[in-house]
Amino acid sequence: MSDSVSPQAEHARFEALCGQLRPDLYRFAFWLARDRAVADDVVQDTLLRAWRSFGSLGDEAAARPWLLTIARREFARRFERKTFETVDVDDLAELEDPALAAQDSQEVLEMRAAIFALEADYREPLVLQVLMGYTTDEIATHMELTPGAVLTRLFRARQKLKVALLGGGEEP
Amino acid sequence: MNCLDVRRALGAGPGDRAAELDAHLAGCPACARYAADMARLEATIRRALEVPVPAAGARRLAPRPAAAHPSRPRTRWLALAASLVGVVVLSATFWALYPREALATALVGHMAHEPNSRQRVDAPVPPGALAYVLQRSGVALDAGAPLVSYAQSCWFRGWFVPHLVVQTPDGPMTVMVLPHERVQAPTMVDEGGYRVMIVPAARGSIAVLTEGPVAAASIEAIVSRVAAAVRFTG
Repeated sequence: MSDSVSPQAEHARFEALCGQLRPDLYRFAFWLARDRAVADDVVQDTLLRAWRSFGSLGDEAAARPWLLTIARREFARRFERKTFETVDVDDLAELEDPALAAQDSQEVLEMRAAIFALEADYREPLVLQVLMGYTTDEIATHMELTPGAVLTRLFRARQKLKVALLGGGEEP
Repeated sequence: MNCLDVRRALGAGPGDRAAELDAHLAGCPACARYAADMARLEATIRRALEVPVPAAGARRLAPRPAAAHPSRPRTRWLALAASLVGVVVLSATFWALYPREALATALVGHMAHEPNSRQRVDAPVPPGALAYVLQRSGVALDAGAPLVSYAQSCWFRGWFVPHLVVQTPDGPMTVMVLPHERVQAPTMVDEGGYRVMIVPAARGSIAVLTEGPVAAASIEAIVSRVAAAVRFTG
C-alpha cells in the first residue's frame, strides 16, 4: 500500500470492501456464537482489527477469508475471556426473530434448531461450505485440519441434521 | 464406487463431485433417491443458515482515520497511542462525572442494533422466548406488565440483559432491564432522537426509551407499570 494514498481514500476503500462482506461476516459470527448480540460485537471487533492491519491485505479477492479468520480469532478471544452459559437449545430455537419465524417454514425453523444443537466442530465447516462456498481444502486451511478430517465432519454434520429432522439412524 | 462410498460422498456435501458418482447414481435407483433426499436437505440447510443480517445502523464499519493509518510510520502510531490515552482519560472522566448521561448515551447507541424491533404489533412474543430472555439475566415479569412484543437477550456493557419492546397507547417503547447499572434517582434525558427514562430498581435499574415526542407522564406511567412487574430472581 502506498503512502501516497490518503487515509480517507484508504478508509473509503476499506468501508466499501467490508460493507460488501458484512453479511457473510455477520452470519459466520452468528453461527459461531449462536447469539445475535455476541455476533454483532464479534463483527465490530473483527472490523476494528481488520482496519488496523488493512495494510497487510494484498489482494482484495482474499478479503473474505482474511476477515473470517480474524472473526474466528476474535470469537476465540471472547471465549477465553468470558465463560458463556450453557445454552438450552430448545429455548434458543424459540429466540428467533418473530419476523423471521413468520417468513420461514416449520421445516426451516426445525433445521435451524438442529444446527444450533450441532457441536461447533461440525457447525463451523458446514457454515463455511454451505454459506461461504469454501472448498474442502479451504476449510481445512481455515480450521487447521486435514481435508480428510473436514470431509468426516461435514458428513457427520449432515447425518446429525438428517436424523434430527427426519429421524432414523445415522449412516455408517 | 459402491453405494457406501456414494452416500459418504453425498453426505460430505455438494463439493467436488466425481464423474463416477454420477455414473453410479444413473444405475442405482436407491442411491438416486438418497441423492434427491440429500439435495432437499441441502436446500433446507442453506435456508436455515441464511439468518437475517441486521442493518449496520449508526455504527461505522471502522473508526474514521485521523492521523492513524495501518501502514503509517511509527510517529503516527505514537500519535495514535497518545490520542487513545487521551480518549480513555476523557471517557473515564465523562463516565465518572456524568454516569446517567453516559448510560443514556450507551442505551441510545444500543438502539441501532435492533432497528426492526420497535414496530407497532399486537402479537406478544412467544412465552418461551420471553422466559428465556428474562431467566438468562435473573429477571421475572409478573402479570400487569404491558404487552411484550419483542424480547432479546442483549450484550450491554459487559452483561446479557433483557431488551424488550412493550406496546403502549403511545406506541412501542423499549425497556431495558439493567441489574448491573445502578442509578441514584429517576432521570429523564433527551438524546439522539430518543427520550430515555432510567429509574432505580430493586437491583440495578430499568430504562425505558421512546422515539419522538412522547409526553413525560406517559413514559412515567409505563415505567411504573414495568417497575412494578419486574422481579429479580437470580
